[in-house]
Amino acid sequence: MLEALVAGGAEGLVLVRDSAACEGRSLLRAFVSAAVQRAERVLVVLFEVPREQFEAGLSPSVKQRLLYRDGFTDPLAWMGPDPDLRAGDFGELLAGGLPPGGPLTLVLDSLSWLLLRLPPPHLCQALGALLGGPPNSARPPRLLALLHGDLHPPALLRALGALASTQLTLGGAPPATPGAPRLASVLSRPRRGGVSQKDESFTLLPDGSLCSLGVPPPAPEEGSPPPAAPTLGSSGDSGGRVPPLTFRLRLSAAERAARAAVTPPYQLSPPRRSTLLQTPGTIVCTPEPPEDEDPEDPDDDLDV
Amino acid sequence: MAAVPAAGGVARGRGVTSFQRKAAAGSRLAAVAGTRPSVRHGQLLLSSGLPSLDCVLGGGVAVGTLLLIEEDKYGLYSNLLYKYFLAEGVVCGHDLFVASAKEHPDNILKELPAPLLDDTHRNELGEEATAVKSEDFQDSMKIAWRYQNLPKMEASPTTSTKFGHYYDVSKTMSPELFQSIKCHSFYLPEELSLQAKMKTCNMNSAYTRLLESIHRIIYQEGFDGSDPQKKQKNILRIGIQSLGSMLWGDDICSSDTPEDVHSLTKFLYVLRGLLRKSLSACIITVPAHLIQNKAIMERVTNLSDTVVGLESFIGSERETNPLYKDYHGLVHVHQIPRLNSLICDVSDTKDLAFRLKRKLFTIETVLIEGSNTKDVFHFNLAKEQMNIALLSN
Repeated sequence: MLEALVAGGAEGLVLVRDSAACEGRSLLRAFVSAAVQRAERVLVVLFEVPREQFEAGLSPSVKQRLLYRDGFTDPLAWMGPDPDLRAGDFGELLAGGLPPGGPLTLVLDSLSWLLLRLPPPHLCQALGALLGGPPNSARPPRLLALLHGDLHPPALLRALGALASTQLTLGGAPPATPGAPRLASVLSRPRRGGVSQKDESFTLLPDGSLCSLGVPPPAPEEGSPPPAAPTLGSSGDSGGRVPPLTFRLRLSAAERAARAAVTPPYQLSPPRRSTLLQTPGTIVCTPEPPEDEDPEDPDDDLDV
Repeated sequence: MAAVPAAGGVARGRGVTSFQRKAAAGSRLAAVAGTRPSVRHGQLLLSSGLPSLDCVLGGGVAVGTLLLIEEDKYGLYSNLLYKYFLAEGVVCGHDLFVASAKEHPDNILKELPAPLLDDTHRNELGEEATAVKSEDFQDSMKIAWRYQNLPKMEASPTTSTKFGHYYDVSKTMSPELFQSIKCHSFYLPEELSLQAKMKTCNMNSAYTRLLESIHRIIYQEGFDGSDPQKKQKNILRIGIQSLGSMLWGDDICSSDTPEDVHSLTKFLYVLRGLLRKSLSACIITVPAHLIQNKAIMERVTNLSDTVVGLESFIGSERETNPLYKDYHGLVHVHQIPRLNSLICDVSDTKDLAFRLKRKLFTIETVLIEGSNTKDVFHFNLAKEQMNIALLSN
């Protein structure tokens, strides 16, 4: 599903939720390079990192076709009366300044920066106006927004999630090497209706593209909940909650070996069976005691 | 053959009597299309677009009242109810007022479900219904005593005459149906951009704008009762989508201590006043699960007339629960208005669930798995045991 999303399946607002442990900018780059390869126009709005840092790892052909709005260099407009972008008039600048023609992918790096500086309802209204155009207009732009999940209260994250059509929550252990597999939980709500949620593992190739590894393999760590837990308990935002089960469906290799070693009580070993068969048995029959019969007629008491 | 017209003539002659049927008191009201007076309290009712929901709400939604739908987690099914309400308005020829901050109203109208009006559909559905009935008859011995005398929440589609229609969610309504009705739309981003220069955007401005718009339409189009309408009376159906969400500029969803706690309640208070004075009915969906401050939701409930909550099973552990395997979610009726009486039309059962079949969305009573006596007995036994265990703890 993740590959399909990167390949253009995602529409509307796509939230990439990362945390300090697990950065999501590289996933953003994968989306960007895929969009450029589809010959879409990509407008990157930078607030958090300079252009050079965002471009790191992108191929030169992709780099030269990206459009930029720089909100990083001069966020408070100290360097001149004509700033490229300021937080306050974000909505107007974008709504008025979208380059015309063709499908457009708008990348926000990051939404968190804006959320910390603007009242969230204003920001959401600006985003909503950007996404939902009049019915006869061309396709609304795809909006990719990076969101640092650990910077905002959970209520705000839930409310933003309700606006997004796709949410990618990065999780799992931080990748040790650049090519190491990573975990993402994908929640997709297509316009057609329906909701699908899936945990997927992916890896980023050296050229910046994404390679999906499918459903994450069960990787039991010491003392961690069984791998069935994340899929069962992923109803809320608190991902890996363990359901209160008294049994486990999946066993580790050691546990499975231990289970195989135990002899079931109904299996008799040959020596024990032979001793059981050879001992002469007797059948004892104890007849039931005769019933305690009352010869008296119960109706005798009645005065009929 | 000659006797037939003669007999008819005699009958006609006899029909002319000095007794004339006096027009019933309700006939003036009932003249409005798509409505009927309530048997119980005499108020004019209109259908919510979902006959099974009407049944739960005591016949329908009374004119001049507000139906509040608490959205399910992903807003899928509440949106469906919203569209049903509007579609019913289109079929009955009512005027519509569609307000949204997320989707453009024109897009919402394009996606209204198609009514099942054709005879072919009716026959098809009628056959299905009779098939179900005969099955029911055969199985009647198996049904637990608890359910034997319950009326079916879902009446068969063939019985619907003018009040309440069935819709096919798999198809969208044809544009010809829209031509006869008047539709007013309110799309918040457009409205805000119209007067952005005149007024700075404060918290209340979206609600104020919406109220102004509703007020204008009610008075201009003559939906207020004070202004005697010369033409045929009509009903205004108002639909407001996801009120209170962040797109309306309200921060009750995003923070526990919102800047303006009372803006939503103020809005509802004024809206209620407008509704009471006019021939209109309103449906509002509210993302109740996102609203942080529970006191706000209680106030909102008190300010509405009918409150129905939807709880979908998507992503919850109930999705896999065998008890609910036939259903897609639960329906909680939180509030039903008391109209002209001290009591309200409470439906007999609290266990209501909804399911979305290929074409139809229905609300039904939850039947316990298998629903034969033995299962029910075991289920009750297990429940008792659980209660005892809870008490002893």
